Amino acid sequence: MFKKLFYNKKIMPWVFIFPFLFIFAIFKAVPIIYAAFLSLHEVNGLVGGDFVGLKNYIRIFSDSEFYTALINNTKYMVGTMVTLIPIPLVLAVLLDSKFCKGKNIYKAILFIPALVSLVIASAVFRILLHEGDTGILNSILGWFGIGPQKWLVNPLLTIPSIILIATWRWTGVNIIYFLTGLTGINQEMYEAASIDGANVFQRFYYITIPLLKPIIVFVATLNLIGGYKLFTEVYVLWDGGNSPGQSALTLAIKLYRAAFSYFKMGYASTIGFVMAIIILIFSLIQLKLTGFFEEE
Amino acid sequence: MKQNKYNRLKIGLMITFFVIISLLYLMPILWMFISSFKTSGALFTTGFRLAIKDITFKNYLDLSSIPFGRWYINSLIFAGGYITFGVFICSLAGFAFAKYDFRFKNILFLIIIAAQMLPIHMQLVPLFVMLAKIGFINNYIGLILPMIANPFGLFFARQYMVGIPDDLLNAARIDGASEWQIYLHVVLPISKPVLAALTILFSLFAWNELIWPLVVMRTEEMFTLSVGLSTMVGGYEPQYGLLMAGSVLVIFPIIALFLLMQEHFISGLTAGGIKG
Repeated sequence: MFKKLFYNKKIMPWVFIFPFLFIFAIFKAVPIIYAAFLSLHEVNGLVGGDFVGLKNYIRIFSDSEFYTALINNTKYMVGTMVTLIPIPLVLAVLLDSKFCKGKNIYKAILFIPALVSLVIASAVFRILLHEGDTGILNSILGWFGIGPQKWLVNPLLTIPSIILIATWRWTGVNIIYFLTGLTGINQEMYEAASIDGANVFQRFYYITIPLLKPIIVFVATLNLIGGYKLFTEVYVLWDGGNSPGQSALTLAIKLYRAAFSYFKMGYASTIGFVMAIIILIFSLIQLKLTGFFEEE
Repeated sequence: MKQNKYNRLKIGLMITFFVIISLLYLMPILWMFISSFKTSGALFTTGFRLAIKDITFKNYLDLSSIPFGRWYINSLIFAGGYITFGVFICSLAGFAFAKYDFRFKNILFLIIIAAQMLPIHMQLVPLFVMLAKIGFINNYIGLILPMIANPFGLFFARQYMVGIPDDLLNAARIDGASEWQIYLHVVLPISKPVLAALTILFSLFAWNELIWPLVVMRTEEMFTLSVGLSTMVGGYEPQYGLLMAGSVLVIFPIIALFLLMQEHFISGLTAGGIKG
């Protein structure tokens, strides 16, 4: 009886998906619905809570901290666009060149920072970005005659400091994405362009960039989505996210504080919901741009 | 001849450039290593200088004064549980979605993928409240169970398994294999690359993730490495020397594994498409 079941092609797929579906329903689907429920309630601590309708949503849109956080997330996102597309793109093109010897070694080295956890990366950068003139980055700047900067103290430099960490950690991964795209480009196109008298920069601009456009869009949307999830760096760089003058307050930090410092579970859920909507919109744009909807 | 010389110059310039870039990117890791042998006081005042007489192993010895070993074990339990159960249920469901026809298949798949787009932040509070109600806060099960039904893991496994030829499965059926035996003895062995990539993706998450374990694990002896290390930067007397020694012990095993199995790491991390 039981043995026969294992041979049934109609029933076995359900047996196969059951464990996943069961856990998915309890720990993914239910929390999403529960988040919607909580966001309509005023909950203090873990028990009870009064239905308040859309009050939390009205509150969030009149909360100046919410806008500060949204702007900070956006600044960070824009910054990663400026660094994490051109730098990996140029490095990938150079790595792809036939004059580059030992490319696998460089590729591996540039990938290593992605393995370092954000907590550790942030802790190390707290040392590197130390504001005194003995700080490591400040010492290096000193060689070029630039005075010491108060990296993690000056509110104008807090977001750039986080962008620096993101750039360090993620260049190697984006290089891999771009290299995958570059191997798909036919070498004959470059040769034909050279014969027609196109120089290196013209070939880069008129051949490489247009053909890599899908990958550039993909990397850009990863930056877009990642930009609104920023949490760990801020949490570690400023002892639980108390950045100078809230200059690096992010949506995720605000959510964490609302929930676990002030125990406003309803309001925290509202922030989570708004975050999810922002990220969902960007994800849909990504899928649209990368042609996901046409494929199936 | 002249052309040849010109090419050699290009190669030389390229090597110089990439050696400088590599050093730049390795610098923070190198600095972590050096800092782990400095006293916390000397860390911020000595800059680039490291005199032999200043080298101290005290940071490494002092790790025994904090529950660092316990955090290490907790992270191993997190990674081990996540990999074991996560890879199992994701590959099993991925196989069903790849190779069978059943009712609601497409709509179920779409719902699961759509859920992947929502950030974990949205579920933090509801999950915390739910886990608190059933007593799973500060508990390994509470830490691992909500993570294992990973939509991305399912998607990745399915994409790979779609490519397995149906003839292979039918041949096994003719030989009298049950559907379960087909999964176990035909599909799993062929799917090794994707299982390896998922293992790496899940273990890096367990090893590196902060916000989820920060929410679930509330007491010092239950912290994972990320949570434990994050508590050491704050306060009036941050213990940077100790922190750097701990960091070295956390990342060097990962780097060693990476150097051994580069391709799997790269496919796991790049396919993940998750920055964090």
